[in-house]
Amino acid sequence: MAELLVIAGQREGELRPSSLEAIAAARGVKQAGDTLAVVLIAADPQALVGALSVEGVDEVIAIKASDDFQPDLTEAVITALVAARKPALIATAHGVDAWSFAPAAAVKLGCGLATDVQALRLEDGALVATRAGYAEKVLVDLDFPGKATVLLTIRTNVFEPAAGSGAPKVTAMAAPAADIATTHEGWKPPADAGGIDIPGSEFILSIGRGVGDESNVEQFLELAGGMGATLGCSRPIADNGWLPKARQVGQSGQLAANCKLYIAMGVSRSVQHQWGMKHVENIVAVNTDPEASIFSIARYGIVGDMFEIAEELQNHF
Amino acid sequence: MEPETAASALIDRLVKAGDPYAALGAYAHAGAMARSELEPVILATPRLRLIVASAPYAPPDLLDRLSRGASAPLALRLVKNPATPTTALGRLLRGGPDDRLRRYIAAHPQADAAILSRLAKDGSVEVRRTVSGNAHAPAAVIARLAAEDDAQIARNAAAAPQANAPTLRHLWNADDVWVRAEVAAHPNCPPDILAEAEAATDPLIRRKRAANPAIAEAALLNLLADPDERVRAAAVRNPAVSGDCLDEAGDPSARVRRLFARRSRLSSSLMERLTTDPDVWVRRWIARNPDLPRALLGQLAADPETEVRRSVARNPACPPDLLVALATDPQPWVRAGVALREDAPDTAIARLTGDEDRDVLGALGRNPRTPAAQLDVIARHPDKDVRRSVAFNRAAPPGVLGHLAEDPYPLNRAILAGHRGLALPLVERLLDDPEPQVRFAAATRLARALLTHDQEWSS
Repeated sequence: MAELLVIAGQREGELRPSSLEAIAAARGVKQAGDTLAVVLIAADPQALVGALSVEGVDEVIAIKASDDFQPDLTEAVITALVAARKPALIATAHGVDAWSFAPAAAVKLGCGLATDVQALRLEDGALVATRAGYAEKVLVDLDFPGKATVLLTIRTNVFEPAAGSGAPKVTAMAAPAADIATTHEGWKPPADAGGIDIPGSEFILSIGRGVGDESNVEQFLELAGGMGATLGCSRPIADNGWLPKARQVGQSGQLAANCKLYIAMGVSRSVQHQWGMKHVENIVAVNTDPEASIFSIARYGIVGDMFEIAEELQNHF
Repeated sequence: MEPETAASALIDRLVKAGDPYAALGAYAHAGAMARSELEPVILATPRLRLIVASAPYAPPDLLDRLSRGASAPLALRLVKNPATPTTALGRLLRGGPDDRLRRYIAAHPQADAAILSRLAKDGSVEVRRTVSGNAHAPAAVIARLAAEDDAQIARNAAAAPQANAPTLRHLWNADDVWVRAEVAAHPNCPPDILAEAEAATDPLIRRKRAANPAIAEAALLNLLADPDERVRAAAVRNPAVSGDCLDEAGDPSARVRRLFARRSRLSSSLMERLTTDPDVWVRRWIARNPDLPRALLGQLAADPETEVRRSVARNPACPPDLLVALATDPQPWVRAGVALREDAPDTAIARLTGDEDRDVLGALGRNPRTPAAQLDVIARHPDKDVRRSVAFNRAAPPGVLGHLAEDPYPLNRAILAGHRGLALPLVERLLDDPEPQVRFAAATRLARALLTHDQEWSS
């Protein structure tokens, strides 16, 4: 019998959808007799219990505190729960919140740690986590010999969010004392993107320097519209003012977080751009240069002129 | 400091620093003596040699030097690098490379006629197929390869820019619909084959024929009336079609009308019709048409669709008074279109200076007509993408650029390092930047100024 813990996240009192993905990851390794508890820190945790009452969740641990994310408090909560319950697994969504408490908590408590985990399984009863290595070129299986507790941050948009109804018991827990070293200055929502949603789009057609000139951009907007895709772009296109910055994919742009199909046309070797889309399962690259580095991360590659390919595609939509 | 002394001091500094990235940045502008001093720094280790061999920004002379006695891993990187010069490719080919390397050489954009002619006789069909797909393959090579009974070679040969009429005739007779379609699209396609293609039942062949830039005007006019909209679209797109040939009544297909709207020399009645087209894409395209008269541009500037108004703002023929009006458009993307224009009147720029939208600010940051005080505000903006726009502004004053040299985002410093207006002492300081890309850009800029004595870069 083991206890599995999931640290849920909320923003301004609303449950982060990635919390349900972390629950799904933990549920996948839950065995008969194990218990799965979800930890929630919020100003009104009771209001979010319903959203967390999904299949497989046995308990919601509700901690009343400010809605403002506080990494030191989260670390103190983990410390208290590890001492009290000795969980075999602590899972939380991979992201900026987790970065600020998970590694510190793992080091402090001597837990096993794996970040950005994409898959999770049990082998002979032992936990094995899969994550990418060497800039996503290889997948690495990690085990944690000798570790009583393993802390994992779960990559978002990999696990199907946990669903189904459950009836967890709700346990109130007092917020433990924490040495608070950070202050919350306020929540700044992302800039208005004028209806352009790169992170939320499942299908993105993206253009790079190969488009050549502003006058050529319009036809790709038209093509994307016809195909039901969102048009994205690499940094130089947005820097030139040819497309809004809200369409920029990459390190200084946005992450194609929910994308399932990404067509990259005339995007060659920008590491910055690849940062924002290399995780997408289906990448189709179109480039005249057969050595363009985009082909190294693409599932399908077309060596050809992006304008000719676009014209052919237009004939089908 | 005398220019010679400053140049020599730069090389000394780069050599002493032992920084391969900075040394590589200076290499392209260095003379023979300076290069011999920089090479040991750039090529100090086998790993560095591999990095340089695959870097498309590496100077061709350096790649040529690396090709001498190159090991197999080094040779592979060189043949995959589009910057590797013809001489190096020839040398590597003479070294008897394996199939894989020969394929890369056959595909290389710097492979010349001699190299391709030799590889066209290669024993490996994969190598010969690759030669047939190289746009630089000469007519004789294409003719020889087209004689082979190989479907892929036939398709490549039919699309090869240098394929001549006899070769295309031979390929047409092979009776493969895809090959025939490429032949029909080829500018060297013989007239009798073009005539035969006119009667083709397969719309692919008619469509490809309609795209042929060498087709006669009369034939194109027939294609403009083709029952298949894809064929008509290809005909409208053909650069040989003049806008005044297009039917003033338009076309039943919105897709074809969108292409109408992109053509020059449209009749005034057709332009007027397209301006009120129910399809928003037609209006977007016509709003960008530089032939559009003032009155129609004014009409489109009041279009309810944001993107149509944006197109007006980006139309080079948009008059100053419309730009002033669009500078207060409720949609930031339209205002950004005005902010990007170097010909925008002062009144329009002034109306945009209080704007807080990041696309508008990014466009103003690039615009050489934006006042220095506004550029200073943009260079201090919390958004790194907005700040970077000033690094692209050729008229940005030194004080503003100096502030950007301290930018916490490395890419912004790297782009700034190449700015002609950045004072040389500040560029020199960037030679010590923690980011290799910044040091590379700074060394490139300094070398251009000090080693080539180019006055434009020596400010």
